[in-house]
Amino acid sequence: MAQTNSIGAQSNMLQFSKFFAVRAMLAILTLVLVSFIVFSLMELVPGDCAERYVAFKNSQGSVITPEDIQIERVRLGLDQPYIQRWVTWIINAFQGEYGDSCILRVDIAQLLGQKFWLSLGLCLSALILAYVIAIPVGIIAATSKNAVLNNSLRLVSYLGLALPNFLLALMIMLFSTVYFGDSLTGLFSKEYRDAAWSMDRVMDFLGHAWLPIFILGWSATAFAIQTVRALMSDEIGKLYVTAAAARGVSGSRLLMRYPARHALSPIINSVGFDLNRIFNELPIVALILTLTEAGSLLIEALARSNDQQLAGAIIFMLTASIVAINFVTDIILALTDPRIRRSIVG
Amino acid sequence: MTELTNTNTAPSVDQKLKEAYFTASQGQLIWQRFKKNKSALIGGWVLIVLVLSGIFAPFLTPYDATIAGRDKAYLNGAPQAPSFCDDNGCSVRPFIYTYERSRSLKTNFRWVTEVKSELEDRRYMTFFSTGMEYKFLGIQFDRHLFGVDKGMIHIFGTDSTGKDIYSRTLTAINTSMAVGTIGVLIAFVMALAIGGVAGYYGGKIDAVLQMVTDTVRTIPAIPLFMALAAFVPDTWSAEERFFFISVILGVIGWPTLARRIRTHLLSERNQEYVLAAQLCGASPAHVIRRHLLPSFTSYIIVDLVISFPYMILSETALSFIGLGLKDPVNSLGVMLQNVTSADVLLNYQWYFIPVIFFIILVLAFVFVGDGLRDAADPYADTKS
Amino acid sequence: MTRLLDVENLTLEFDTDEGRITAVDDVSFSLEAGEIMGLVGESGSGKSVTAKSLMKLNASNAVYGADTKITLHLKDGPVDIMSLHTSKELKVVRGGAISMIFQEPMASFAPAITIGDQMVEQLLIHTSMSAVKAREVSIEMLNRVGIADAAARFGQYAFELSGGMRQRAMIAMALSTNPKLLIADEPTTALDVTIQAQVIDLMKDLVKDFGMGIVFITHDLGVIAQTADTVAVMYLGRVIEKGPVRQVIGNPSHPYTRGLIDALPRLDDLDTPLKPIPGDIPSPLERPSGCVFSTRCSSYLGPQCSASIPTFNHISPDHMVACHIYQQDQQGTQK
Repeated sequence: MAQTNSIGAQSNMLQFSKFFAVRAMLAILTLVLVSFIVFSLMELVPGDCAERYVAFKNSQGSVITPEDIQIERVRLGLDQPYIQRWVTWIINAFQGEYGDSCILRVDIAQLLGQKFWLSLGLCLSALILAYVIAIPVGIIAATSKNAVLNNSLRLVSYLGLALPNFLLALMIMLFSTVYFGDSLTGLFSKEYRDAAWSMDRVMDFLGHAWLPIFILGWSATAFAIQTVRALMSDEIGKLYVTAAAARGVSGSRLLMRYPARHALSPIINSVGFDLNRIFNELPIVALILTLTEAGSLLIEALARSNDQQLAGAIIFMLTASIVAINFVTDIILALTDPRIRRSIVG
Repeated sequence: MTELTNTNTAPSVDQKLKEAYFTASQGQLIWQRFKKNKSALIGGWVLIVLVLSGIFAPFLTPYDATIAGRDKAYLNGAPQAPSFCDDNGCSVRPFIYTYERSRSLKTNFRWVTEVKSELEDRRYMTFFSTGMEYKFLGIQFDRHLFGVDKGMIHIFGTDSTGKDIYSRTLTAINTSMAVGTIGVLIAFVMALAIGGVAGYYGGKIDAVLQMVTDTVRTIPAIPLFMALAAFVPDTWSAEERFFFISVILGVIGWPTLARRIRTHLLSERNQEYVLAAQLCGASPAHVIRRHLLPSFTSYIIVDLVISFPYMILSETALSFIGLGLKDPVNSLGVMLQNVTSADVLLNYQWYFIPVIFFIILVLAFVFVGDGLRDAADPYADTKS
Repeated sequence: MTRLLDVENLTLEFDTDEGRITAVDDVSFSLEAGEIMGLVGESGSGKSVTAKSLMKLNASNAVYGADTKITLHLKDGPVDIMSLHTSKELKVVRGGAISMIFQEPMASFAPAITIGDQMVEQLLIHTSMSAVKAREVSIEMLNRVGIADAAARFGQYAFELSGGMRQRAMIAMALSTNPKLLIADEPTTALDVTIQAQVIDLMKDLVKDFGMGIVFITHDLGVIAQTADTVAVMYLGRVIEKGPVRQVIGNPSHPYTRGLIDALPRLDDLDTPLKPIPGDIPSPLERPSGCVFSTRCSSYLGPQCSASIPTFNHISPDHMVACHIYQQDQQGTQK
């Protein structure tokens, strides 16, 4: 059943595009579902945007009547039925527009602007750092018989679990304040905060950013080390590794090509989940380190100002990032794991 | 074949051991394996000690953990370590010194602590002494483990309003455990319902439920929680907040557990032993109760134990930002609320003592959970 | 027939948390080129461990006895296996002079690497062939073992082949480096009977063509009867009987061997109850003193069976058995 190469390649491409499209559809469907949940939760909250704004104005000293609230409602389109509002919201959301913040009356997209991408950059850097450290360390840990190494690694991973990032950040703050005088907070020095991007600004950012990246990556690294180690241990015990050794394959080739290569798939799978965890820790670490750019804004939006629009937008964007990463890792898996590849292509 | 007495058979004692091994219940087997794991055992003991000290906090601590028990004369006070001997000689009973704090123009209005170390200034510790009253299981008690004959003793120091940090630490452990327990229970019930249905029926129902579960799992919990908790009205009582936080934690925690239950059910219900039971005429209820459930009870218990620390840490994180529990309800997060000010970091480092307790608590849970997991899986190769 | 392999006093213990466990105890046998030797025994008899010792493939906590000597006679001269320690030194034997095939063909191939890649890799390690030549040789080998459309199969993964084909592919891979000795660890256990027959025929053909020796490990006496030239029966780490297949199976002398053969169901008499060997194989932590089979032996003679380990006695020039029954009668009268 020989097929000429070009036809074979073409049908492969077709199958693959189909797979790609299906995955993309699923991702979008997930996002729609997420938006539904987020939107509903925002709706469930007592009081709506109009009331809040008015209450805010009230606390500023101006006197507002119920009629003003109603006018505000109509202006914001809050009198339309639920489904209609949701559909409008989600269509806009996909285009990156989230309307205006309830309280601040500023376009949300503008408000978030750089801040979201900076946060995302920090989190992704932390994630990459975590894997860069964890993969070699995990592999070594799985193969080494050295009891001291094994036990200390176990301790490190337990500590990573028990000492969550914000506690770690607190401890670091404690030490730095006591011994060095406060100097480690913030993402930028004063001069660069609102400046345009330049090489100097980048250097300044890097000089400050290493600490939050380190703290965020801390427990992600501990987790990843444990995961890599467990996966490698499992794979090393399998028959195909012994069979390869029986064929004369040895040394690092035996390690990397056989168990390591096969432990890769589950690791790729777990990347999206790790990002989720890092997102969970970002707001608090940000607060502690007073990263006014990214995290702090989240806290204010979500906690202090009771601003649903802003809160909803932020949560949606965070989740969208995770869905996007999951989509990417799915595709990568399909490309690297022959079992999946074959099942697609048929 | 000649029947000869074989004097080389194994002695009957070994035979009894073997029989015991083969007829032991699942729980007994798990306990045996668990016992061998030293770190898990230590973790287990530590856990029991901490939980008990949380439960018996009112007895173990000399003062009430709320405003009612504060020491007005000793705000932001450093820890007072009891000693047995000093320049004036030794005594059987441990004692602490009298501290006098004053501030005046002379000291630029900064608090200055003067230690009075004369013999008459000694304040001896008392044990099983009477002190402030408290209620335990509905009965009024007034005995405490220790106290001091004059004034108050603060072995971990005090905070800005004079509340004894030691007392607060123990009650905080209690509160965090309570929140964690309720959260885990709620997550478990929800996970059982959703995961159970998905796993048992499979097919389309499973596909839909999977999609929903995965979607919920993708949403980052803490930001979501922050959004929800911020809208809790301030008018709610401390107990209502407590309950609300626990419920939210549970609601956020169910997806991972549900996924486990569903995966396990899906694979187990196709196993031959289920088919065998059905062929013998067992009813579905019987199959579920006596065959399916025991097959994953141990895994579920392990998952529950392991999710405990996450609940506790999440609650701590949220209370820390001010979105979780508030005074007078006390938890680690609440205690850490004021810790980031420079003043505290420079001068009152003892505020961080509760952190050590919590790290130990979480580590204990993790060790026990890991030990349980190793013990519960009969096919796991325990090579670390 | 040239001597290919000499195993003398092979003893192997494992260093575990529970202490030193003896897996193989003073095993000796030899193999000629072109001979198929069967290594028979229950699970726990130490046959796999014995075979793996031939290329030191056991776990790192394996401790070999001081008297252990394994000699592989190659064209260039004898190789003392015990003197090879690092993986580099062992490369000569592993996959080169000695090849091994395993029970689970699916599990022996790396799931995410093509069959072809794995075969070529082995050739590149052991020969100075170019990659192109290695590919040619591999495809030819696949053909040789009876896999149709070998070129296409070369680029496929293990999960894409059927069970029988996988086993053939594994044999092809093992033989591509022209080994002198093939160790087959229960190669037919996981296959159905018809495929079993095909694989066995294939192996016999290959022995004729390549002139190699095979150590065939199994618990299935029927397969041994069809396939092997000689057989060694193992129990709890010791060889208790060995000799030409016809003689050992036709005249089983050791009570254990007799028990094994009696335990086989008889097709000509379907109504007789089955006759299992009473008792259970003891745990390796509780090795019986004296003769290892004494705890289950229905021909137990008395205290001397538990006191001393029996040495080999000849039933015929090539057929030997280690049992006190045959030691008792110096005059040669059998029980």
